[in-house]
Amino acid sequence: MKAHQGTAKPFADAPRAVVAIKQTHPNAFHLGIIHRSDEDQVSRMLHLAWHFDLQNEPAEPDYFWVEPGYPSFRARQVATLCRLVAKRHPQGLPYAFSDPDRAINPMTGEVLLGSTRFGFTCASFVLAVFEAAGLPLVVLDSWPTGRDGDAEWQAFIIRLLEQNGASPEHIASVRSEIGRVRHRPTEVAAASSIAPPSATLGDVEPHEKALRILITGQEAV
Amino acid sequence: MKAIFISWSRHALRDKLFYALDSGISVSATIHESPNRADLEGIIASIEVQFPEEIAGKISAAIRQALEKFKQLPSSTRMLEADKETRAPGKAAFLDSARRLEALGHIDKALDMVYGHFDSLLTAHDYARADALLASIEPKEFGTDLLLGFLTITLPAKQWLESRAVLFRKIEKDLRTRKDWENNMLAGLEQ
Repeated sequence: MKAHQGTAKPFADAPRAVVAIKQTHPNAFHLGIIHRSDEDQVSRMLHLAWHFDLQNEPAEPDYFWVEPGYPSFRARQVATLCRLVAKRHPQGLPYAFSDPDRAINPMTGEVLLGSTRFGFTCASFVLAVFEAAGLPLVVLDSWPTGRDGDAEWQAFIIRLLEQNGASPEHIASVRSEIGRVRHRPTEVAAASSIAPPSATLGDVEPHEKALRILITGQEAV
Repeated sequence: MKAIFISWSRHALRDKLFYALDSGISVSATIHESPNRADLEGIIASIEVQFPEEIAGKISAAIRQALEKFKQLPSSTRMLEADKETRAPGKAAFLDSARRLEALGHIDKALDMVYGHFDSLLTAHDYARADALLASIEPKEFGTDLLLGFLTITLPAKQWLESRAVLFRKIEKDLRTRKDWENNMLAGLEQ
């Protein structure tokens, strides 16, 4: 697994679509997809920043980008899909804990949110985009539920949604998803260095550890 | 207001552009029969890269103006007009436009056009036309990126697109003969 901070190795040197991640708090990370078109050569980062806040702005150089396991030709397809998704969802997407499989229709960029699918985290959004491009990064059911810290994190997110004006209906929906599998940002980023084929949690763990050390200088506690 | 016209044949449009260039006559454009925005954008894009900026700008502006007029038509009229191009024989104009953009090195613009075109078809649940398009694709006529684009954007609808499996096999066979073939290039795109 190799990753580079944008300040050390520019995004322009990366394939046309890569997973990018940075530490936002002592034990929190955020990730998205940095993508580029030859038409303007601007490296943009498509990411779900928060509830109905899907951003597609020039990438900040403090992000680390991960050298992908998928071929460079496929990166270009992911970049095209990123542009389509950004164009289709200027109003953003909801934040929730739904599973990311089959969540984005690559033909339309349409997010298939329904009664059992309420929204994404930053990590599950990235998983959904790659799956839509035919590159599922992880074997979803190889992740267990109820890992240490998952319930606390989900409760924290719900409090933030409540404090920031999410509708009561949406909050009730998200509450119903407490206990769902959580794919952590560092795990998703590490998985992008492996797939294809899709990575299991066991495949990802050593890469995730190396990535976390690279970003933070520390091992996980 | 059905008397809107655009020289929809690309060759005629090109002739007209040269005429405008030589004569100095300002160009106006009206739309005759297709409201297909993806195709129209493709033609605009092609013009923008093939002609001097000053001329291309005039043409693009005229076409966009015509498009706006077209959009103001009653929707029933637009619907009647919409299928004329569909019924035209041969490949869709957008495939030609995408191929031309690709040949000029505008691969990402070509991919955006391909994704956009299928977007409009699938949003309209026009699987028959999407399938017909796939059946008309000859891999040797396209670069690797566009071939992968056709397979990527049709992946989730593969159960409705009978021609996709045949196209996948044709593309795989063709790509394996190319020097840019990479292992895993088609992973996850199988039929």
